[in-house]
Amino acid sequence: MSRRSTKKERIIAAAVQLWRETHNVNKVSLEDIARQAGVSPTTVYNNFGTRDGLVGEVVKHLTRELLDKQWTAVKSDLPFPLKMQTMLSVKTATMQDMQTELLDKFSTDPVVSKYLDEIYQSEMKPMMTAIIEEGKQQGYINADLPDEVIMLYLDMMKAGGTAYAGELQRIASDRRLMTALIRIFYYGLFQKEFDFTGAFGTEKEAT
Amino acid sequence: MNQAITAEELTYRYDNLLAVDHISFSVAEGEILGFLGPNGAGKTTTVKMLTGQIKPKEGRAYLLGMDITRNVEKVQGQLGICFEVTNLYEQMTAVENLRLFARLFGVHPFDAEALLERVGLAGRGKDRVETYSKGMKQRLMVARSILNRPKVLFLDEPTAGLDPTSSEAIRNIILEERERGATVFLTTHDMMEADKLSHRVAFMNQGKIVALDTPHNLKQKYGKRALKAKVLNTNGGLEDREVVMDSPETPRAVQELFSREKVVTIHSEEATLEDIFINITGRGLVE
Repeated sequence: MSRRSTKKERIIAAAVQLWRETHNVNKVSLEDIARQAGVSPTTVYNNFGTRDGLVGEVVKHLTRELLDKQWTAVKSDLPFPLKMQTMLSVKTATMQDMQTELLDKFSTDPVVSKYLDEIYQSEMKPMMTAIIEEGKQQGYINADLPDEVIMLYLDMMKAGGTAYAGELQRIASDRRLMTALIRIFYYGLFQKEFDFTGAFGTEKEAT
Repeated sequence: MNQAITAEELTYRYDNLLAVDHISFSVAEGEILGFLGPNGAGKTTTVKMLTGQIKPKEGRAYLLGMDITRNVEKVQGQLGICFEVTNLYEQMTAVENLRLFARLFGVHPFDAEALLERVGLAGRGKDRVETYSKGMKQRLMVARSILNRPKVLFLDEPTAGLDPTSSEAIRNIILEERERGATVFLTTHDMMEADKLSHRVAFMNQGKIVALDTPHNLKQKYGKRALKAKVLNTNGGLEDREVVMDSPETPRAVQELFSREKVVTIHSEEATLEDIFINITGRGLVE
């Protein structure tokens, strides 16, 4: 089971660590990363080509790691609220690790954004479906809401997140604003209900 | 509900050793009581007093409403007793052993083969007991203890040191006997077994009963639920981590676990009776 990590893995780990420590991706040179990983700068270029190539790989790596953590939580028997807290906190931690330059890659780097689109379809959606199902069964999520509508809502949020990536990052860096956004995402705007169904007119009788 | 067993201040001394120290409890008809404790806690001595094999130094035991010391003969016919130590006739076959006891108990008619089948010894009835494995002998002893359709069944460590198949066969018999309406007094230090089978469990330690309740209530009262996680270490091996559940600190602890380590699996686990026993007595069951 034990195995030595490959040079590529060591370089990615070194980059993540240095970026995390300096809180600024731009301050860290590829030479620093090479030194931290115990490889020559040439090895970094050979494995990743450009600095952009490395950044892209790190984004993929962190995304993969995040999904692994979230899957672990989803598949566990943690109580539903604790499961949601865990899902959210690992995501927040990953976003902090990624910082602005890395998060930009989601929208600007075609390779990364393609990777993200694929993983959104192949893993994030099934994951969300699973957790919504569980939430509905346990009464945390309104079971009357059709899955189809919920998934559309989530797709819209994802598309919006990409379109407003810059704004989103600004908000994500402010705990108060981010809490508000998450609150709206999960609970909507209102804390008291009003009857909006009248706006659609009376329901037609099925014939 | 009628009590099948009542112990009042039951006490036994071996010379200066206080083996059983003024214990009081009762077991309702049709109930399975798991009687748990480490070796030397006084379990077997208690069973011997309850079944009239030794006289209590103090206190009384009532079986089916009768004081056992004054009604030994009358009561014993309605009991089934299975001790850990083998007391079978090794030179005789299983069927011969069972028939002998059936005659002693006046069980007539008696179908030895049907009984052997129930304990998973079908087809082996004509073999001498000395050719049996430990598990087979134990199953035969259990068969013998139920052949008189006892109202109260005492089983002392019936599955100790047995293979899983034999243990499972014996557990099934216990459940069948309960279905029939028998009261079962089950001495064991297998906590899982006690948890699975018993309506209530008594914890015995140093001659005293230190707790007596349903497994569920004991867990509620003394047990903490925990989250057990397996994390990947740097060598690619797995290590265990634990987080206490139902605490205000739980969410933060889980978050930290996920951010610090590579969590492979995580699941919640109830405290076991073993954990609770240690919690109450400060010692484990098997030492």
